[in-house]
Amino acid sequence: MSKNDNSKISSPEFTGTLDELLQDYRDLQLRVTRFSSTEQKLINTRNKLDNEINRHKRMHAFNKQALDSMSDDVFCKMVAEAVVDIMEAEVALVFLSHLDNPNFLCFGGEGIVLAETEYPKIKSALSHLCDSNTKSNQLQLDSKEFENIKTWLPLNYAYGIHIVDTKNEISLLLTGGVLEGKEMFYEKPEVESDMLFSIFSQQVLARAINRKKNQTIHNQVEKIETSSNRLSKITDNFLSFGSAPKSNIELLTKLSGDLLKADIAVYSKADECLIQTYKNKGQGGVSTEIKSCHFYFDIFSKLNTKEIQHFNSDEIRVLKNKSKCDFQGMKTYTGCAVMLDNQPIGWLALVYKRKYIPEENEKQIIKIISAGIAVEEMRNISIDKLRDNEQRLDSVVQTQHEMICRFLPDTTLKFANKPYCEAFGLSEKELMGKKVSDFVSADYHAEMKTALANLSKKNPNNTHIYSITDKNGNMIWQEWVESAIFNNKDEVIEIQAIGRDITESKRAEQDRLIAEENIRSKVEELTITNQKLEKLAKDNQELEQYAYLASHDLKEPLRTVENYIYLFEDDYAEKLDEQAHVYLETVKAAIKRMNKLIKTLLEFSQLGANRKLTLVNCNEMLKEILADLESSIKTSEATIEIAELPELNLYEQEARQLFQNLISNSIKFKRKDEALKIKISAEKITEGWKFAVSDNGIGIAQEHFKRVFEIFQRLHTVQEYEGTGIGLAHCKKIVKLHMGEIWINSTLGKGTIFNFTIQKI
Amino acid sequence: MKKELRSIMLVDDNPADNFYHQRIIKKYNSEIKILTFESAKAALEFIKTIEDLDFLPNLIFLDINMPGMNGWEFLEEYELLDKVRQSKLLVIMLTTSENPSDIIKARTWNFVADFKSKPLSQIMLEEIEKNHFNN
Repeated sequence: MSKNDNSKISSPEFTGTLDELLQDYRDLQLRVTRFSSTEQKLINTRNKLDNEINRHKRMHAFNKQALDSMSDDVFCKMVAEAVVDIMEAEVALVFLSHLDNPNFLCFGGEGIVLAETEYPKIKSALSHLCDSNTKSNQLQLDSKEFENIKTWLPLNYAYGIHIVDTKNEISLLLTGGVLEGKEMFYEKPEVESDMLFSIFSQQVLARAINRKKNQTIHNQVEKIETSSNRLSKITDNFLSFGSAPKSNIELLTKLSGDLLKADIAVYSKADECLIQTYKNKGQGGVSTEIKSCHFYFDIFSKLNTKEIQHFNSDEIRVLKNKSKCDFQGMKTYTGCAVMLDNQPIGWLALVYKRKYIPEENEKQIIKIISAGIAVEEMRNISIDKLRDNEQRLDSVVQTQHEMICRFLPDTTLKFANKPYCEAFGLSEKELMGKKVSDFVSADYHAEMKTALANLSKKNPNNTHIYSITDKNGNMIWQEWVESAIFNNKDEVIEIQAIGRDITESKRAEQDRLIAEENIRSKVEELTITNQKLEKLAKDNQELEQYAYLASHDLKEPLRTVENYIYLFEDDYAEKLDEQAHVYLETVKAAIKRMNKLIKTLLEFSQLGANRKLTLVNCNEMLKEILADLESSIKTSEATIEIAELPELNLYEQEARQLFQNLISNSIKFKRKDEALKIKISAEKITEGWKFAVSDNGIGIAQEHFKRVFEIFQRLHTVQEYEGTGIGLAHCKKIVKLHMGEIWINSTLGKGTIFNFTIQKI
Repeated sequence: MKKELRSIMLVDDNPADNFYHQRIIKKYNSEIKILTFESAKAALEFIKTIEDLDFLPNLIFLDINMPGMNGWEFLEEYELLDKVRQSKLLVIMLTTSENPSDIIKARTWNFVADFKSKPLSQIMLEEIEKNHFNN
């Protein structure tokens, strides 16, 4: 019907003969046939295209699926099934081989059963089918060699490809085929199918390479993650470090065991036979034990550098036989010395029950941790030293008698030692936070402020004296030496001060100043007095010298007069009358008196010139004096009473003269109507002795008490009482010589008392 | 060996004293020869230069305080004379000084035989002759 429709459409009218018509009809028929065949071709082409599109769609689906991460076997299985599906084969074989898994085979479809032992043979046989002469990787599956494969593979027909990527060390053998007795959709893959298969296999290879790369990247990512985990653990541990080095070392040792998954982590110091071990109990953490074990030391002694060293179980086993320690079947041992100043001070070691070879980054971790331990050990030493120093310093600071304190630049106290606390009567706690300036008198605030402000790197010390109110409210004086403590910017952050109480010395100083002033003025007075005295003494000496020379010179002419009077008398006595003799006698008496005067004057001037102190018993001396004066005592019928006299230091010659003069004086001035009585006594006084020579003689009028002691002063005429007027002056001089005084108590007509003192010398 | 007192030398600047002392000596023994020098220097010169040592006096009365060469200076010079001359003479100080230091000083010359205070007297001469001379 369709043909009619077509003719109707193409030829609506008939013209000509039947033959002509028939001819036309045959032409038309031919044309229709031709059209049909073209139409069929078109249909076929369209079907093919549809098919291609379909295959691409499925390949796309495979690609999409294959991109997802999956294991190699799953991937290969998927590839094999894709070959069956896309290439419309009955069965497929996929060999994907790389280093990890050299002979990996997967089947697609059903009907092939192969022993795993046969895989290498098949792979080898198949790969040989590849024409090495051509560039193509197409397997020559119609070659005679294919017959050999039929022993294992019951394939009627097959095609395949073998691609090797040497760069990535990966090979792919892809085979698709039909079993015997079955027909394939395509007898032989067409050019398009070939291409498609080729593209598909390339894709699979690329995918495999990608997967391998991904795997490597993944592995590396994992490693990086592990490393970063370790790093963060190390960091975490470092961050959780405390101030105690020992616990930090413990932490580090645990960490090394933890990070490197060791069964036991060991740290030991070189000079201690003690070992801290940390047993890793998996997720449950570590247990710590400390024991003395020589066994470990035998191993440790091999560690003497910071490089990681490794020992296997054999070496350990040898040592184990010698050791008492149970090593619990450990196999490997890794560690290094903990170095400080290029000297091993201890060891860090990790012990494993399994065989273990540390990777480079793990070695680094061990090194890092051992370095960390070294730092902590150093800190430990420093802390020990510091503590030691602090204790020493503290004991020094606390046992000082000086006050020691530290305060901020605004004078807020930060530290005070015992003497400081005691000085202010407050405890250290009470003092803290108080200001030094609160104690210092307001008068000194400005000075203190300036002094503190002037402290600098160039001028770090100050010495000051402050007056301060102490705990009892007393004003005391303190001398402070202030030393500035600087930060690294050379700013004053604290001031340390050492002080002492100088109140006493300050007072003493003030007293001393006053005393000095007094002394100075007294010394001045004394100097003036001394000068006067010196002048006086000099004058006196001159006077004495003068007196001596005068009297000496007087003697000469007097002697000449005397001598010539004698010659005159001798030569002319017979020629003189009575009166001339009286005159001569008067002259001679005058000469005698003059001689006596001169002699006394000479004695007086010479008095004490050669004086010498001697211990004199006055009783003895008086006895001798009385013996000397015996005749005059007898003549005057005097009774002399001598009390007990002392023994004392005297200028003997002068003292003798003194007593003699006084006694003679009493005898000379006796009363004619009464028997003379002389009493001599002595009494002790503070400065020495006081003597008294008393008589019942004529006495002296009060107005003359002073005058009698002056030289050449006489109260009576020579006719009444003989004398020179020197005797009592002489006495006064002798008493003065003994640094004493002489004075008179007397009542005229009743008697006289001569008192004199003699100082203890 | 004690000698006989035959001549005396008076060395004193005071002529009145010399006259008086001459009188005393003459009265004591009129046979004693007396040489009087008012200058110590002249007296020393005499002793030094006299050739006949028999004319040297047996005794010298020497004063201390004299103008020019005093008694002490005389003694210093005299000490330097030859021993023979010295051995013929006896020196006695005759002075107004009673100063003990002068007495001590005079003793430092061992040829000074005595220290006497003026005026010279008969008793003194007797003593001197008795102690130092053969009579």
